Amino acid sequence: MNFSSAKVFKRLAWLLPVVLILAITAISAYSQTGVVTTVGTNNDQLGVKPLTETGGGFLYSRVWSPYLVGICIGILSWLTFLLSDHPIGVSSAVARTGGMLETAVRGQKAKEKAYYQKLGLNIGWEWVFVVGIVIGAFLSAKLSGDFHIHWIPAMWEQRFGANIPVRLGAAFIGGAILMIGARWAGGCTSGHGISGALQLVISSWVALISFFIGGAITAFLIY
Amino acid sequence: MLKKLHEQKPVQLGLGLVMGILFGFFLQRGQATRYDIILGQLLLRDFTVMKIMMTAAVVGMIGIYTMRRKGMVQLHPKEGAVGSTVVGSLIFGSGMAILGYCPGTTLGAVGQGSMDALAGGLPGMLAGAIIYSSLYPTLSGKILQKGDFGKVTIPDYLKVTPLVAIGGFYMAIITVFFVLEISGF
Repeated sequence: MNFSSAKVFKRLAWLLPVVLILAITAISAYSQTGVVTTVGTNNDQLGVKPLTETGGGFLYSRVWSPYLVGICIGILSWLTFLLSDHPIGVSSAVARTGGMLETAVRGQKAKEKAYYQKLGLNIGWEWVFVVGIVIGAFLSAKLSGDFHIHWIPAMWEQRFGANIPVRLGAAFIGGAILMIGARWAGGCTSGHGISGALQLVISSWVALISFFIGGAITAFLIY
Repeated sequence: MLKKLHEQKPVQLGLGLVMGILFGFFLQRGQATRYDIILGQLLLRDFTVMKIMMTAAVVGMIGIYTMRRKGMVQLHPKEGAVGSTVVGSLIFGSGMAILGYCPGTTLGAVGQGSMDALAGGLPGMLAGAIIYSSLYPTLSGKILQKGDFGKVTIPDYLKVTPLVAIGGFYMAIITVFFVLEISGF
């Protein structure tokens, strides 16, 4: 069989990135948001306060198109696999930190927990990666003038009011549920949602769909 | 495979930090570190998060599978089972709707000055990790292995070449993007 679909696909493989670039250019042109301007349409509806525009180019513009950000993260994932043999992931490093804290407080008894033994409570690639996220987000926000200390998100305030302890309590409980779920499922929106999805792993696509089903149900219940 | 590079621990820690900085930068610049954007996605009012994730997936998959064919990278698929993946992910989703960030974007939000992420979300996540480590012996061997579907990838499961599967994803995701943009999202 000379003309099996697999062979035809192999011949045309180079077309995929080209098609993607063309499609994204066309989409960006159509939506008139451009590649590097503010995400416009839905911000008013969301109650996001417009921030002062900081002129002066690419590194300083407040918002990049989600397609551009997606391309950057996709390419970053090539590098993490190639240079470090690691997929992008966050929740296991956070879990290790939890284990280190518990060990610091309770000592050897905590360290011997089966789950921490399985994870290995060491500082490795993922742990410094997670520290990097905080630094990178800070740099981004500082460069674009988007950095400001705030306690309550606009949407939360509209729905639940401006009480800081209430927001912090909810964030704490939400964070705990989030991390229990992430370790239960074996990954979060990074490990399953980005890295697993781009490796075409079935468990990760199941996880990604379930994240959004669980999230959407809860979001519609509370809003 | 750059095995030698992978084994140099100090170099890897440096690389991990730099790559983390890039990841945090991109997440913040894409506004994925905003509570309002994440809740907007869950309430189906704003599709920024989905656009970022799906673009990262299609760009990532073509590079990873091309490099794998040339023996430059290996895959790291995760185990899956109904009892772990589906149940855990539904729990994760409800936590994400309450907190308004996922684990990576909680850290990104800390970097942009969101105090609810720093003083609420982050300690909550650490507490959640400790709670899970206590639940783990009970869950393991019971619910976590229920309905196991293994470390299978979609091309293996469908018995097609990766390229066919990737081609399918490209068409599906680009169609979704066009529909979203045309309908004003």
